[in-house]
Amino acid sequence: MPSLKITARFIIALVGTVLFAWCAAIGFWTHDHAERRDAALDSHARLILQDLTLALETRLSLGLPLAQLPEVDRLLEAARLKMTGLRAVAVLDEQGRALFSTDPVEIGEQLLDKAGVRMGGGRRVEGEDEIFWLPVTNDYGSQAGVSLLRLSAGTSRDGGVDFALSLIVRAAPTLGLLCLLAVALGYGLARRLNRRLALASGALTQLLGNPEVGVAAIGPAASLGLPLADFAAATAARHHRLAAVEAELVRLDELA
Amino acid sequence: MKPRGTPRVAPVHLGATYLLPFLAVLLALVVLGVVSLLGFGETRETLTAVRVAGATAAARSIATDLDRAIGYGVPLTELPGVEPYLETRLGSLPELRLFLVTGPHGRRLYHSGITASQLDALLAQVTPERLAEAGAGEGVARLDIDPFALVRVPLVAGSGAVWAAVEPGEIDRTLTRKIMLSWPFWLGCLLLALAWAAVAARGGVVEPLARLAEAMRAGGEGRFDRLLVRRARDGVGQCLLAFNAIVAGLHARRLGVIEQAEDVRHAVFDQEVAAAAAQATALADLGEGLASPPARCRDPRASDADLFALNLAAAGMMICTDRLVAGQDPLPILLVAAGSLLVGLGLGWLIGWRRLLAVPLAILFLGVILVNVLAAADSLAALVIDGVAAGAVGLAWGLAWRQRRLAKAAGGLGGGSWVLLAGSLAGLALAWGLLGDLASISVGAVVLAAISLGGALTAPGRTG
Repeated sequence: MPSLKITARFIIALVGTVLFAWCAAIGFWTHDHAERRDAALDSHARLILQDLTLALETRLSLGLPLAQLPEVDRLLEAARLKMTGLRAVAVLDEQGRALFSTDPVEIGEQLLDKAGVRMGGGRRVEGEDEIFWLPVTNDYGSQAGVSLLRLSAGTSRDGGVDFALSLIVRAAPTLGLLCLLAVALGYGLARRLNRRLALASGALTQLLGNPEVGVAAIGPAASLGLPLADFAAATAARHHRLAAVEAELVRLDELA
Repeated sequence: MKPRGTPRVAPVHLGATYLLPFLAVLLALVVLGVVSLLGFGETRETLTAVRVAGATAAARSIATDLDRAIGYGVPLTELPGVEPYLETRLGSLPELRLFLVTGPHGRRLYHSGITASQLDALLAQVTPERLAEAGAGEGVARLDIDPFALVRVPLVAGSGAVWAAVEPGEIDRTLTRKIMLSWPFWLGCLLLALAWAAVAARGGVVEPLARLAEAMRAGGEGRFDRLLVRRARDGVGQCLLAFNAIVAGLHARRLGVIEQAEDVRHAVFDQEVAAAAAQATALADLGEGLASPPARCRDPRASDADLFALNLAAAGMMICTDRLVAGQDPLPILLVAAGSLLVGLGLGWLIGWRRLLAVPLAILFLGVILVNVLAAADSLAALVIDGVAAGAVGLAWGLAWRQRRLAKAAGGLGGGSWVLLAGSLAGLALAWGLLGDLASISVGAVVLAAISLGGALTAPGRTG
């Protein structure tokens, strides 16, 4: 900021600080909110999966294979309605292929790889979706399949964007007021300094106009910690000496 | 000509200027406080809603199981193992505080989470009017009874209800703890505010006035040997201009006297007058300080590179810190970072402050941050990016130190390296506060690198 005037420099420094702090605080709270919302969605999704898995395991106790369990579609639909943003709820076989799903297009599709099936539950982001899954076990303790739900990743992202926008809107009046305050403070601070600088430059200008006046030209208010008095005295002494020489030369000129 | 003078420059008294950094910190503190209050309220509101939704789902799930049992003809009061079942379900959602099953007349039957007496006190506040207000007759109802947000899910055929509760106050405590634990983030913001304001005050007022004070002090000692050519069009610039005019005036008057004496000496044939004129010429020679025309002092300032350097250091530290704790083996990253830091430091010292070089450097670093976002997981990319980020920090330090040395050697103010330290620490602290959130860290680093670019574009070129 080489050519900026003091007032502009002070105002920019203070307003810039206000803007930065505002952005930093909004960023911090958005980040924190995203973390918490993510954790809450995670436990909500797991709860739904646990319920579904429990219901499936109860039905498996009847002795039927997973693919032939009755009323699974009703269970899945009921699970899907428990949470907003759920794209699909599905039951997969041991290979990760969909046996039942609230999204009929998915039936027969490989929704989870074998490594995922063997993991015994987890969470993964796949494209625009986030999937959660839990193993479904039979009475003998071996894995009969997997219950899976697909949540739109946009649900969490949109929640974060909504939060940030809401916070920005709520904090905007404060930002406006504090920017005005920063402008006023920067202006006031620069004004005080400019007044003192004006006194100092005035004293120097006076010294320039009447160099022999010396220390008398310098008021205490104009000092700013500058060695004005010494400088004025040294300047005046040299002007005095030069004035004396000039006078002598005039005398000699006249004498000649 | 390099001006001679005492190397130590006494500070000038600029009370109002020194207030600027403190005001900046105060304003930043107020902004952080106000936005945090709003963010606190907003987070509390949305998290309570999300948790209540979770509690509703849990209560519905329990109600479904109980309805099934009731459907088999077992009376609600005689269901076995309900409390252990509620305990198990309570453990599945950590934010849940209690489960309660009430009979047809609202009497407590089964519960988990809090003691029976606490529950009875809570139920005493659940009046039929409050239930009606909450819409309990139509299905799921929500009641706020301090300190809980309660959800009531009715069972089949008016046989009772399942209650679940979350505690909004617990969100307050968690958020307060988070604010306290995030002190490095807040401190980082304040450090940046302090450093920016200090650079603004130093570059615009403190350093030019210190240079003027030094020139005046030299004048006071008889050395009117410099003109201060670097002037802004403000109060400080007017002071410098007046000083230059005084010095130039003194030199001009002295030269005028010498010319006049020469004229007198050559114009007359009187030996006595010529000798007197020569004597007058000797008198007009006012010593070494006025013997030759004043030199134009270019005035390199320590703060010239600061806005660029401190923000580049902060951005570099942010990227470096994020990469260091991204889950990869920290030792190779640390070694590469340390090596790059030293190389950057040496390079910065060798090159010194050059605006033409600083501008592309800042642009290059902006590009590196973008690559950082794209190459999130690759370990080789992490090493390279961490090396570049640490190199940027070293470069910033190196050239800023070199500029300080240059300024000091030219008789100006040195020091002020703390702003670089503040910038670097701020970068570290900001990254620490956003750890694991690559997007937020990258946005923060981009903002800082952009300010660094702005600092490079607006700073003077190489002076001195």
